[in-house]
Amino acid sequence: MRQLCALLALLVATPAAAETMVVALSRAKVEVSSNFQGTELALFGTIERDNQTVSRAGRYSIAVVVLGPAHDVLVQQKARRFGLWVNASGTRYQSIPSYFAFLTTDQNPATAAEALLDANAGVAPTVHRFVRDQDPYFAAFREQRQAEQRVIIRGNGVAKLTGRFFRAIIPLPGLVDDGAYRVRTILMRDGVVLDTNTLIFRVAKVGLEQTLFAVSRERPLFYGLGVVLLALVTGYVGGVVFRRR
Amino acid sequence: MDLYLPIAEMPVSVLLVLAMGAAVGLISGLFGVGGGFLMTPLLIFAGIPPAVAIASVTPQIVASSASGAYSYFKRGQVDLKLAAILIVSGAVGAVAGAELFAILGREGQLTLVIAISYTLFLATIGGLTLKEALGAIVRNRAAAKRGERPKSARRAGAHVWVHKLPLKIRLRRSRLYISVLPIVGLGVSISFLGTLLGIGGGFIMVPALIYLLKVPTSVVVGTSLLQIVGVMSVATVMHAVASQTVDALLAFILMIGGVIGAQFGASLGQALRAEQLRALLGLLVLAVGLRFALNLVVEPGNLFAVTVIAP
Repeated sequence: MRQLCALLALLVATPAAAETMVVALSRAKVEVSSNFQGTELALFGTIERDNQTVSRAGRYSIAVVVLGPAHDVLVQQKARRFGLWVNASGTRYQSIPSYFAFLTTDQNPATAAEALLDANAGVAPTVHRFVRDQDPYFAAFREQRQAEQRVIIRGNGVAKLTGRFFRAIIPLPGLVDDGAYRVRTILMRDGVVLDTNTLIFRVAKVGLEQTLFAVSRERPLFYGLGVVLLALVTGYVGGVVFRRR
Repeated sequence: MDLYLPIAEMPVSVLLVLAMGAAVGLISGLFGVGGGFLMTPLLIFAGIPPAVAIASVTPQIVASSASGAYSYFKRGQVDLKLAAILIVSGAVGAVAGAELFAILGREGQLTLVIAISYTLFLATIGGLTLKEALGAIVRNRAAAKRGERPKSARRAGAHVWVHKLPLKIRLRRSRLYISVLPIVGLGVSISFLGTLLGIGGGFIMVPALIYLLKVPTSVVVGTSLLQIVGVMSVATVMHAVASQTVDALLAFILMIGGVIGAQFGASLGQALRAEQLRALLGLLVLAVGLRFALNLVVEPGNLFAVTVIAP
């Protein structure tokens, strides 16, 4: 009986798949100051294996999904009306990630996205949409965001350094929204999810930028009056300094 | 050197913005105009979102008009009562303008409305200015050939209907006894347009006060400047509240550039004749208008527009 209990405990303690992951980010916070023009974060991870499991390093596939804070976007198609190009029919996307990165060990990110969907991974619908949605409005949105480096889809974006050790570089452009960024790492083998891990890093303005932004959102009336005061003082001082003779 | 703009949420080159501020300041010093109608398009063409460009040029107009308004005020060349009526009615126009601005932004139609408005507006003003100035140049040449002294430009005929309206008030400083209605009408409409498009509107207000209301030229410029300071201050606060697109840092760089540029412009302006200046200004305004028109008519490279609605 005692032996049976021990066996049960062992079974509970050991997950069905014996591989787990340890993942870390190079930074937990990205500070946006006045000279911010974009940066990079490095993600490092190792695959931990218990003694019973045979090493099959070559067949692991790893996907890293980064989702920035959500915002609403309106995509409109331009059309010629009365000889003028106007914004005509549009589609609204509610709470869509302002930043999206999909980095995989696979050469083809589309296959990796397909595999995630088949394995029923949590972020799969979002990934599938960003990688494969062919709707013209969404495609236009994706194209613009790719040009701004706010949508990054990169096969071979996760590099296996050794059989167990991997690294991914997450590029952040100068044009990023403030807030929490979720980094989801998914370890798979043969179409089965072995382990997942979620890390969070924050993007926050610091110094003057942060103060100005916060005041403009939380106390807009005060902010507006402050800008007017700044304008009056600058105008007056400018007039005094450069007084025309 | 790049600087990250906190409200536009994008990096811009400080030197570029400073240079644009100085260039427009130069032009405004040269021609004696506020320059908002050039500053806003320049920022838009440089890639600043139109909403941020317009809302941030508004405080810059306050700064560039403030010192002028103050010195006219000290010399007693301001009709305070007239300015007060214009500002109070202008505040109504500014509130309406900022509200419409915010609604258009949410609907993703702001860029289009701005482009169409600027095209019509600049083409009309530029065309009229150019026509008038060229006419004056031709007349003066002809007069010089006949050996006469050049005549000053024609004065507009009396607008009798303006003086028949009810609700008359006395404007002591301007020595006028006129109806309050055209003043309120001017105040509301010009500041509505000014708030929507990011222009001070001095170059419409000054001729309107002179030709329509017969305000003496000695107080016109000072009164118009004070009106611009008042209305654009209200517009700045309204934009900050309604659409939250006033970028204080962008506005400050523009102010600095503008203040510096205006000094050079003023001394440069002494070297040119008034009609030549007006012809140049007309050409410049027309050119900016055409640039907007081109954007409207030529097939865009990207057939989709992406607008972020809410953060």
